[in-house]
Amino acid sequence: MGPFALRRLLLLLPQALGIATLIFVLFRLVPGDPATIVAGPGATQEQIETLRRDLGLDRPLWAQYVRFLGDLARGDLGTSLSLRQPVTQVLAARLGPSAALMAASLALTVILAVPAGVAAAVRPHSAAAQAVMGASVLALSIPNFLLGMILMQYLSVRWRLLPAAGTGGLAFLVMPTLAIAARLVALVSRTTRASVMEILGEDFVRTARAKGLAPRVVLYRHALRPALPPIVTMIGLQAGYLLGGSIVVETLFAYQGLGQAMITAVSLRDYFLVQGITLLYVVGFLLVNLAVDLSYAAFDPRIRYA
Amino acid sequence: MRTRLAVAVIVAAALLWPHAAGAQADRPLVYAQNVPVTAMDTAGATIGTVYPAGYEAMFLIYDNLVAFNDKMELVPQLATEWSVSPDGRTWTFRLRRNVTFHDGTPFNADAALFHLQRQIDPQTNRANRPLWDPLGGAGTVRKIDDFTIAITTERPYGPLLNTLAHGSGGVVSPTAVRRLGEGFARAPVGTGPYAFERLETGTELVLRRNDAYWGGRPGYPRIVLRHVPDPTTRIALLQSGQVDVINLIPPENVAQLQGNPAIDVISRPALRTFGFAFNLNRRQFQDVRVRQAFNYAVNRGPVIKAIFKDFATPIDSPISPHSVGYVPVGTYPYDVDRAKALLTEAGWRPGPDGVLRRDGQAFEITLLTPIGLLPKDIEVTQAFQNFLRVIGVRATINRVEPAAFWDFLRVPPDRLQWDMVLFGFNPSNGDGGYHLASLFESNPSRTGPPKVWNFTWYSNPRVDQLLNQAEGTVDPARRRQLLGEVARIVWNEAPYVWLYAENVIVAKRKEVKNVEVLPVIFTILRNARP
Repeated sequence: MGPFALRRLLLLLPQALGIATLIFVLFRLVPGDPATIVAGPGATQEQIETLRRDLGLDRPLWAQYVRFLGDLARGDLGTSLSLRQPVTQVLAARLGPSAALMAASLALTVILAVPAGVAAAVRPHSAAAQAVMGASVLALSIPNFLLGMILMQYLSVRWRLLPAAGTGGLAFLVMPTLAIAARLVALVSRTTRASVMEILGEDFVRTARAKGLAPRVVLYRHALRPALPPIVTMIGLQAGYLLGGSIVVETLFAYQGLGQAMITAVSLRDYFLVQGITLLYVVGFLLVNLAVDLSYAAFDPRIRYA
Repeated sequence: MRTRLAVAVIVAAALLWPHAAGAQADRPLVYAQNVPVTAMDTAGATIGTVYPAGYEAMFLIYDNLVAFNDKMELVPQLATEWSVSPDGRTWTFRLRRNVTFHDGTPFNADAALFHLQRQIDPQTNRANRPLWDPLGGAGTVRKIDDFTIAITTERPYGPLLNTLAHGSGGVVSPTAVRRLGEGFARAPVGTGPYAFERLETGTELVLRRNDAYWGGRPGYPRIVLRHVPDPTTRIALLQSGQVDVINLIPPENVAQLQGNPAIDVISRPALRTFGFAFNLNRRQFQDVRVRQAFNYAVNRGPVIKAIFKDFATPIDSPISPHSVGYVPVGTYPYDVDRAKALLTEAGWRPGPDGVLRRDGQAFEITLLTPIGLLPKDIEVTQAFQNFLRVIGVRATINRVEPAAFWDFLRVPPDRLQWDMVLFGFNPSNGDGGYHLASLFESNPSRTGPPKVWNFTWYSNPRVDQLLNQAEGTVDPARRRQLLGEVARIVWNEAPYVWLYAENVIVAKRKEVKNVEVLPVIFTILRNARP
């Protein structure tokens, strides 16, 4: 396990470098000159030139790239043009709320979806199983922002149970979490059901049953663990959705996380902030993938030597 | 079972508690804005403040020398009275006594001069140059005694008071500016009714009551300006009582809010006027008959009714009826026959497919619109496309991201990538002369981007001359006459398809009193009371 994890961790470095390079290049291809944006309308050509020098944009591209990597290595992502704060400070302030939202969504998913999927797999023709599967189709088809608006209309405007939007205590986390998690719960419960049903048909399960083990033991000790990799894969694959969904849902609920900062930064043409958030998202995505890969190894020893 | 129930009750209580606590008395006034407050310095050294949120905050933190009331009349604030010399060049202001900044610095002639010099000098203030440049050059500001100052301009400057009342005319504490430098934008100090307390960048700004305010005790212990980008969310927050005032309400949501007995909707005609600008560098638009034909082809009434639910007004001048210098100059009634006749006169004949042709060339154009930057931009552009189809012009719509929109306008004339573009201009100092000059004064050079917003590249020496004269005229009646003449010429030469002036729509909880909404799209909370 140790060497495997280490190798995967080391592999992260070239990946991160490649992505940082890609981001650097892409942001230079985007039309619009940051110096002109910063200077604002009504600036003279001379003011724009001065700013371009200040921002280092007058230097050749390779020199800018070297400087970009150097700054990155020192943890300097530049200064947000619109918020006039170091980008790292903005990221630090916004990471917490976003991480809380994603963690809550994932936790809710695991708590609801895995038991529901297992139950549906054990008695696939029961009314409860049918209901779970039907509900999951509904949850899959409804876009997260629409679900969010419906929740807001009922839970806060009509019934006054929860604050409609904002960031703060747990109460502010409920609706955004539900809006994001609905789709995940649906997907993961369906995957769990399929995966567990497949394992329940295997020979070793029949053997376990034949030697008289209690159904509960067969299910939890023998069937569940081999059923886990596809479930974890599904959750890992949804990390992208979690990031994208958080952008939409955070904006809807005026929830002060990274996603909302991203939208604000784009609309204010805050070049360096968008770059910083993108970088953080990509690194987050890589880490989730790494966690998924490592979890395979934990569930299935054969993978460690592959 | 019983334990489970207990757990559920505790969880529910934990979830609801912070919300319940928030509903208690002595609450701050919470205002949800569509954009965040970022910088709050009147002299933007680099990027300006975010409109309108930044200025709305600044109107709480600072006092101006003179201010707009909600009828856009100029009233005393830190200046108690003023007079102008017969030659129109020297303005004398008597200043209010016993006023201190939030940091204890006394307000006096020195502080007022510091503020004015800082605004006028392009080195310390890069923003709003068209408003402050006329005070520069050979102009001077000087102290007469501790509570009297004089501003002398190089030549008479008509809208001088409008500049002082503009959002960038807020008087800053000289001590704080010297101490904080660039950081002043994020920790502003003024003399206004509310003082800066805390800024969560991009999220919310918290201001606290200035108990020493010269104008009496302000109405709330705190005012919170919160960034809520989504209009549906702002409405839900207001309905659920979590915020007290919200801005930028889509017209289609007004009826729903008006039906709520706890909520007041405030709708005021705004100064921002809209139109489709012609790219006058295109050959087919150099004939004035074509431009007038396009103006006759649009039926404004149904557009305003269907798309704006009547929360907009057709215009009869390039500037709004509520701008300084307005006179009505004409109308282009909906008249398809007349439009077609004008196009025929200009040499355009319908081809077999109904599209007009001249010299074998079909009349095909592109319409540029941002996506959701201007009110109902896409809907209005689609309606316009259909009006053009009726007179035989085939238009394709090019939609661009809001952030990229300005790059399509601020380029030299040979790099314009559109034939017509939807645009609206709001003269933030309330002056029609500023509005007309920004859009129609000739640009100094065709090799660079437009000086302000004359991206149609309209140029008429007579208009330039009249605008120049109007800027140099202090007498309001004479100015109105000159600006009326400009408006008439521009209206008839039609560098735009003139459309409408929007309404600014704000809503508040009934219990909040004295919320003022200015036609320059600002919500003013300084006089709000519970």
